[in-house]
Amino acid sequence: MSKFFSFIWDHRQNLLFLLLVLISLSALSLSSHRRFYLARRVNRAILAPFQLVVARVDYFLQLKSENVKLRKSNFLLNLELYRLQEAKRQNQRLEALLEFSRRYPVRFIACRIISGGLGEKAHVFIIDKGFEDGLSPNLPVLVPEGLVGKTVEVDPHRTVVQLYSHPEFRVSAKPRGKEDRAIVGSSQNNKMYMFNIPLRNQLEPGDLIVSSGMGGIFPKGIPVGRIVGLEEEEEMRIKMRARMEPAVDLDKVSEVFVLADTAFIGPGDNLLFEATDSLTQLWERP
Amino acid sequence: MSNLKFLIFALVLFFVHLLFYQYLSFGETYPDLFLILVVFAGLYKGPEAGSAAGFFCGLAQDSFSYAFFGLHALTKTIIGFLIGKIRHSFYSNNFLVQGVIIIAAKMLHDIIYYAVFFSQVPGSYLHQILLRTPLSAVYTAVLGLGILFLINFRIRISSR
Repeated sequence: MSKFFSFIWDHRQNLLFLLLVLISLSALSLSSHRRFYLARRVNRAILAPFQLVVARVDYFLQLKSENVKLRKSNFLLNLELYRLQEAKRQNQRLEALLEFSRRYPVRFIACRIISGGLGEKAHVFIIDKGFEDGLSPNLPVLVPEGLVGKTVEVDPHRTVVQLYSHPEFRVSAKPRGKEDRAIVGSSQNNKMYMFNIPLRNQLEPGDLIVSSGMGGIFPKGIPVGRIVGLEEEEEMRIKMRARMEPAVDLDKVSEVFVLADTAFIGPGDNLLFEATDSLTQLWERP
Repeated sequence: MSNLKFLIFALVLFFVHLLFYQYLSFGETYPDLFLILVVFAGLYKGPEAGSAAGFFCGLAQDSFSYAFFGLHALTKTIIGFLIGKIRHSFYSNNFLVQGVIIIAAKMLHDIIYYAVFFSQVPGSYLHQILLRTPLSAVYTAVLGLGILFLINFRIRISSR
């Protein structure tokens, strides 16, 4: 017996080879049905674990490339969405402007803002119309929400608009429905105030302040802002001032109207004149 | 070649074959990556490992071709065994010699394999052996030596 095992051990190379050759030949001589069955079993036994890993790697690679594609597509879609949202906002703005100019038969010149000045807080706008379009200095500049400023320097195709936030800007104003007239302007800290209010007044927080029509530039009735709070003037303490919230957020303005209708504009630069007509109805009609 | 290095080499070849086989074609010429594994098993581990590797690699290939199930196993077992037997007859650590061995193994493999495969169509057998097999043999040798070189290089780098 030991001789038999010794023989096998001594000839193990050749015997293994013969065994494997015999198995291969037997596999070759199987019927097609059995070959098919055996091939499937072998495929499952030998290759399945590798194929599982390969499938995972393949899946991961596909996922990665899909991720790159989706990121790119997401970026493009976001850009498109942003463009559509911007178009929608512009459409709404233009609709509001159109509605505003239709509401009352007043001659407005619609202008686009092409520059917002160089300071941190804009004090001037530059608009894309000039005296060749019918503009001149000291014309009121408005949006549907209210007062923006007035024209100051007019070139053939460009005009500088002094905004209500400019430290030198002043407009005579009063609460709507009341007669406490005072001057509205901006302080050095860019806050809007109504100055020189008598101690005895009828003003209350929340009152809408509109232009009073005095000064010959701004017709009556243009919304300027709302009163937020009242306080004593620091210097003399015989007058009060009202802190105001502007009617127009200048950061959101991109198109404006210039009121170029001579029916509303006072004669010349004499600031004592009252503007010749009122725009009150423009904001009161629905 | 250490057992670890050989195992890495075998796994790399197996995965390359399964993952990238369809991308490795050069015109109509395909490399036989399993044959490279069988050749190196015979060269470095002897006739038992050569014939066993040949049998299992052949069986894996056969599992995709039901018509001649066992033919790859048979031819690769023979190749693995023969290379294991004659490995001491030449200086097998030389890259060039290994390349020549792979080419010769591929030629012999195809001569046996296609003799059965094309037994009914001798014209196709000659076309295969004279035109396609030499190209495939050279391509297989280049690829096999390239993978072996990369693994050697990688192991040398990591053992520093």
